[in-house]
Amino acid sequence: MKSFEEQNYYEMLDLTTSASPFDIRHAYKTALQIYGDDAPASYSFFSRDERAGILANLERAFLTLISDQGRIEYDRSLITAGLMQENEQYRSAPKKPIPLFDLEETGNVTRMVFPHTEKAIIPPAEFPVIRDIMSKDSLTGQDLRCIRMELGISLEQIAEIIKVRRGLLTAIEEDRCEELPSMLHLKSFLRAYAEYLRLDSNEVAARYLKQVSGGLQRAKES
Amino acid sequence: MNGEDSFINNIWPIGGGKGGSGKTFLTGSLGLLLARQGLRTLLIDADLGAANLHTVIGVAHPGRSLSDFVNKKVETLEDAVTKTPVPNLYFISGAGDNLDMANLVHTQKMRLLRAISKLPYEHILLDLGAGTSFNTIDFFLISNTGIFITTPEPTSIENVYRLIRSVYLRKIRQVLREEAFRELLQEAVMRSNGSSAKNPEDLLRILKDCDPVQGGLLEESLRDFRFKLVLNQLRKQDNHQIGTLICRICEKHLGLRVHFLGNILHDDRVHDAVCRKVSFLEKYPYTQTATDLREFCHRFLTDREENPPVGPSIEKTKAEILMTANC
Ligand SMILES: Nc1ncnc2c1ncn2[C@@H]1O[C@H](COP(=O)(O)OP(=O)(O)OP(=O)(O)O)[C@@H](O)[C@H]1O
Ligand SMILES: [Mg+2]
Repeated sequence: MKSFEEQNYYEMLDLTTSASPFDIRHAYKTALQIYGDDAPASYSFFSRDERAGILANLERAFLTLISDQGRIEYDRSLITAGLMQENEQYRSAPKKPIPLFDLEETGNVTRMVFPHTEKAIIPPAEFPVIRDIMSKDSLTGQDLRCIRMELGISLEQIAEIIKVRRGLLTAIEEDRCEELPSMLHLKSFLRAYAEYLRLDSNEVAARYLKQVSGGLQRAKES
Repeated sequence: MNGEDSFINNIWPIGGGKGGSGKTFLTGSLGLLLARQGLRTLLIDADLGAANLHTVIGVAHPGRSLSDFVNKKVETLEDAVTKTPVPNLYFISGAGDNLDMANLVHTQKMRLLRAISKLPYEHILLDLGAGTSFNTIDFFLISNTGIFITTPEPTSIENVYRLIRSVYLRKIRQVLREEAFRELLQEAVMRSNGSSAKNPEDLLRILKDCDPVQGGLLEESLRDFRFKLVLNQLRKQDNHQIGTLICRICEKHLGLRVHFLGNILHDDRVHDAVCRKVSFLEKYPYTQTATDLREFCHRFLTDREENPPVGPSIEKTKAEILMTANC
């Protein structure tokens, strides 16, 4: 067993070297739940200095891995040291747009690319804040935003991956019914959004639609 | 090996910090659930000095007790077993006389440990009380499948970490010869410039540094543990992940396997049931807490099948008892 200081950044955060940025943020959040100054789970386990040392290491690990350039350089140092294979590196999702729908109905729908392949140790649905929100039977845009922020995911990030305009996502998060697309599209955007956050996408879509349905009706009529 | 010796029982020491984390309540509840499944189960109240397990399982006046065996008033430990109103559930009381765990002399302790490991029951649950005395830890190490209990309160978590580290340290002492252990301590003091005492995990690191072979063996024997953790008296607003996170800390920083067996919700009616000397599970079977207890029992049983405990066989226990005898 290696001591904490001897572990590499991936090991510190309990990640594999192919972890996506989503995984990295998530792992860092979980690590703070374990090692944070007020974290009950590690109460009394570490001395003050040990805890401060661990937190500093974790922060360094997080900041290095979350920066594209930082990660490339760090990976290179691991590869040079023989601690990592070249083919174990994370490859980010292709940047070119990916059609969401199979308009020509050819049958080969391109599945959206979700960069996170690894199962996180704590499913997002079990974060206390998120669990509370998900226990409600209807969800507001504000609720969705809270969940996204809790997971440390920016609007840009999610917009790029699920290929939905940022403005539209903002409209969803702010319940601006008059700017929302048709029910069908809205539903699939919501599902993609929720899936990216690793939530139950059908539930999220249904509960959000329930909440905005009155507003959508009114927007349609006016 | 004679017939009696080849019986393989599963011994589950149950420990946690002081302050009523629920060791006794969980021992009684788990015992009841196991017995209801037709498993021959024995509960031993080893919380000598503060024995109260009989109240939880509805035995008003336990006749015999552990002290009768220790003081040789009965010949075999089996003679100290009391029946309970529940079929398949048996009980050895810790009440009576003022026998104290911490005061058991070495030979008494060894005789008792040996006798427990030979008892013919499928499951033996040992309510160890709150102590972290030498003797209590030796009972905890009777098998490598101890169960830790804590509540989400920082004081309780602090206690359980203290217990886990005591067990860890005691194990190091059991594995190393007394002389080697003392040398290791000296080395640790030297390295820390004579400052504060080190954590047991630092001792292992130092040993691996000085003697990689011996250190590796010790590390392996620590990996043999199949500990379990239960989080009791959780309230709705508490973080439900605390148990999982505690297990991760033990794995990552102590190299110990601790398997989380679940949360048990706090319910004021537990107190009522205990006061009225009735079984909570029987009186309130439809509460969340009762459901949690049943799930805990289920996980407890299936967890065993998935990763069979390597140590609670008589052979291993004997080997460990012999090792203990050397220190
Ligand atoms: N899940 C629960 N919900 C509510 N109360 C509980 C729960 N579990 C235990 N209790 C209460 O907590 C108190 C302490 O429980 P218990 O006696 O089992 O603890 P203990 O760990 O055996 O304590 P000790 O260290 O004194 O032996 C009891 O009054 C019991 O009623
Ligand atoms: Mg007790």
